[in-house]
Amino acid sequence: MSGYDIIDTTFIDTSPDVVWKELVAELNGGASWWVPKNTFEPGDVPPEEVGGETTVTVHPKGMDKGGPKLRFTARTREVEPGRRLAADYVSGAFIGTCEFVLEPAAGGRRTRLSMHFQAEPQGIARLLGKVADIGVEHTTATRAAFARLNQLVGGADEVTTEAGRAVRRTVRTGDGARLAVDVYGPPPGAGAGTVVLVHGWAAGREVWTGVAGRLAGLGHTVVAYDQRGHGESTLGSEPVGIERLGADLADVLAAVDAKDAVVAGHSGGGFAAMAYAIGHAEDAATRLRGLALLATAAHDQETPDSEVKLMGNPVFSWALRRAALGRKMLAKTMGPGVAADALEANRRLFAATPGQVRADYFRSSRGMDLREGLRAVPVPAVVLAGTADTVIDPDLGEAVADALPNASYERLADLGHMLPLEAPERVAEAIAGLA
Amino acid sequence: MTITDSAPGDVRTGGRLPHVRVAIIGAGFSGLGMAIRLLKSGKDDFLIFERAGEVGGTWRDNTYPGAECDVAALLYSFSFAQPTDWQSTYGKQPELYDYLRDCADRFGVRPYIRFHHELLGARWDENLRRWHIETSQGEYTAQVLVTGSGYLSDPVVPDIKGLSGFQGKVFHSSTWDHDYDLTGKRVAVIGTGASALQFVPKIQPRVGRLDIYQRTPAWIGPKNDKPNGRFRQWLFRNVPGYQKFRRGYNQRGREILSFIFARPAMAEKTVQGMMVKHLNKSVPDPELRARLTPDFTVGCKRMLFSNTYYPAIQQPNVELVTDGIAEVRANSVVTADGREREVDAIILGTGFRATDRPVAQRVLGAAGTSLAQAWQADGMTAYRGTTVAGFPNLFMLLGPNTTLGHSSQTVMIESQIAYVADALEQMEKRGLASVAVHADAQQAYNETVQKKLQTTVWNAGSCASWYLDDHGRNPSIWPGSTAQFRKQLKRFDLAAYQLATVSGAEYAQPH
Repeated sequence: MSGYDIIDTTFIDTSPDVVWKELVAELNGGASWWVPKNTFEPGDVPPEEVGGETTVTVHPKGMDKGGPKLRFTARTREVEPGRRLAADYVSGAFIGTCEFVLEPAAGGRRTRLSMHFQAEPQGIARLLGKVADIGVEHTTATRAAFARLNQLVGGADEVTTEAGRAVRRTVRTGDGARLAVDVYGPPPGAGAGTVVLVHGWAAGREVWTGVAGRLAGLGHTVVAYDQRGHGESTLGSEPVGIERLGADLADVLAAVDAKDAVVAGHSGGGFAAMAYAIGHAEDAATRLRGLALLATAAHDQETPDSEVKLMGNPVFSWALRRAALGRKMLAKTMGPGVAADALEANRRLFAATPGQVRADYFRSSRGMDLREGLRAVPVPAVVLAGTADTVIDPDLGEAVADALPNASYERLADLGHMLPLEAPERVAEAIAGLA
Repeated sequence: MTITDSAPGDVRTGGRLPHVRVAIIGAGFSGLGMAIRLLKSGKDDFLIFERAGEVGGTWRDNTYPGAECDVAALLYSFSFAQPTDWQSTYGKQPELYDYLRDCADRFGVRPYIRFHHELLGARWDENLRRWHIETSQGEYTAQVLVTGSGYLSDPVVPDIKGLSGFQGKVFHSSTWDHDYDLTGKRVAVIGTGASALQFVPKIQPRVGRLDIYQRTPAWIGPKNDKPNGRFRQWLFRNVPGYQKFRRGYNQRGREILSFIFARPAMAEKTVQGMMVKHLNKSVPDPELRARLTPDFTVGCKRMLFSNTYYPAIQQPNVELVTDGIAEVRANSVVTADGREREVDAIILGTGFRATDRPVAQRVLGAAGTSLAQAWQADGMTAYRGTTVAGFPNLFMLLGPNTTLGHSSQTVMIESQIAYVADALEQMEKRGLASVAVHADAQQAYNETVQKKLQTTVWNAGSCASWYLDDHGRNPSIWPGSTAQFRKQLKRFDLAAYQLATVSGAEYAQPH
């Protein structure tokens, strides 16, 4: 045989489902981890379907650089979704076959991903093969792509935040958004239970710093993520909407393989938590143990046009970036006597959220009414609201507790809207009580 | 086998097995040569697993009286370790044993040897692409497995009726019992191969009576063994290139034999003629001579050399028995003609299992089947005598079709070592986790070798030798010259292999 027969294998630190989504996205032109060496252009039938095609362009020197490009087309022969994709190279620089195999490893927490490349070079590739070692080039590019994929979704990065040591990883949602996720404490399943923290709008996962540190100290596995468009998370192909945010939470829970987790949602994060519990009831039956709903509501969030406009206003953004001015503007969202560093944290997160994202989010709650759905959510819940909350009326929180069959409600005196920042010990205590 | 499975992709913490890049099985000529080559190129990430307590392999085990080599010591030794003080032309067992022990010391191999570690099983872990090795003293993992277990290592005990009920002493030549005093004893020797030929002249003067049971006579040539006098040793020491020249001369001279053995008619006229002359000169009795004359072409069975065998068997206390053995009784051997000869001891000179490799039972490949099973259907085959389809990262020194009828096995071993060394080099350069030879490359190679064998003395010499297997194939002999063999193993030919990389397997768990 004069061709190449190479198998490159890697271990990715996430489940095969996640890797499969990435692989399909990449073969459809996602251009997120095989670049700059390889790009893909799907045909009319997408490559994850039998008979579907993708055209591969190899850029030996990188995408923007000159030099010869190798193009060839792969036609999918067999697909076992989540497990295997076999294709034939039907035309172009290579004739042969390739096969991707995904196998769960380490109890499904990792994925053994391999690509088997068996091909005879044609035309220009055969010529190139005389001056360059295409086999080595192939392996080098594939290994680099796998490494980037692992960085992207495996996220074995250990980081130290103010809340402690965390494992930072990325979770890809169903519509292609990449969510930045920090996991504190013992691995899922190994400690005193998993807690997933969902922040509110124009905030970020750092809003939970005080809460996450306390819970991790109690032996909980604490998962905090940036909602799409916030912090280090990207937007996906679907627009921001309450149901979509619930689906994002479902993707995060699946990625960390949460079992019997407590989900805590603050403000808009509460909308996401409730949307998940209602819209993903079957999933929640195994994954969800309890809900902590903080300064949130299930209805009556008709953000007026003026406020949506304000959120996207560049002058507003500019003002928020001025520390003193920004703090002054946001002071009324927090209770009287709020600590200066809590207020500053709130301002920083608010200012860091892009204006367009803020506007999209604030608009998305219009017409929301989850109360009917909440009546079927069986898990125990704790609903907390600050008496001094000027953003979401504490009475709306009480309506949430009333709708839930198994909830307690408490008003916290003199606290404003930013409960995770204003009273982290009280919030952590409420969550720990459910876990 | 009780190899415990590692969870796929799970890096064991705590109980993690010791891992080496290269695991070598056996510390004979092959294993030591491989180790020395690795050390010379600065690679020390390897271990040798040796079942015995000392190096030396065949030359450690075969201590029977008169054990020696039929190839000149200059050639039957490592090209890179040439002593100048060989006592005579041909290396004797104690001398060769000393030589191997000295090599182990001189090249610093001993720290890498795990003695009394018998290979119990080696299993290819397709998941992590490495070998999982179980020895009698613990488990290891290795990227590459090199077997240096030889082919004259596991003795053949013939299936003779009543042998187990024999009341006297029985032993095989390779496990000679030196505590048993043969003086004055009535001794039966079964087999007249290379080993018997060497020990018979040594024990004949001591024993009371010696019955030699011969199934097939062998072609025997004169052995021109001369002591290396002080002058020759002086030349070896002091004349630059002299020893190398003598070695090369011997090697190239022997290549002529490979040419001749490929042509049976020519072999009969030349080599065989020389041996007929040796027989005629040594054995005057025409009746005995007839019984000592083989009915096959020289070389078909291993060609032997001795100046002392023919004289020894003509001594009054020796009887050459050519009637087949019917059975062994408590104190006697009975031949097919019904004659019973009483004996005190039986020495088995019945040789070794050479058409397979005992190690093959213990090596499991990618499909979970053993090498022995893989070979069951069509007999023992490999690619270039070294690698086997379905057994990634396995390199067999003296694997299938590497036995020589004409020259030194050490030359073959060194050629294969070069191949393995280049494979390791290329794997390192390319970051490869494994190389697996293509089945079609192996098949094409073997078709060529078998085709070439068809017309040689080994296959067309009308004999049933230990070179041939039950399928009538010849999985033993390399039918070409040593130079041809060396040439084909000079470079590791990646194109014949499936290449694989693994990344992230050693990644610490994120949690």
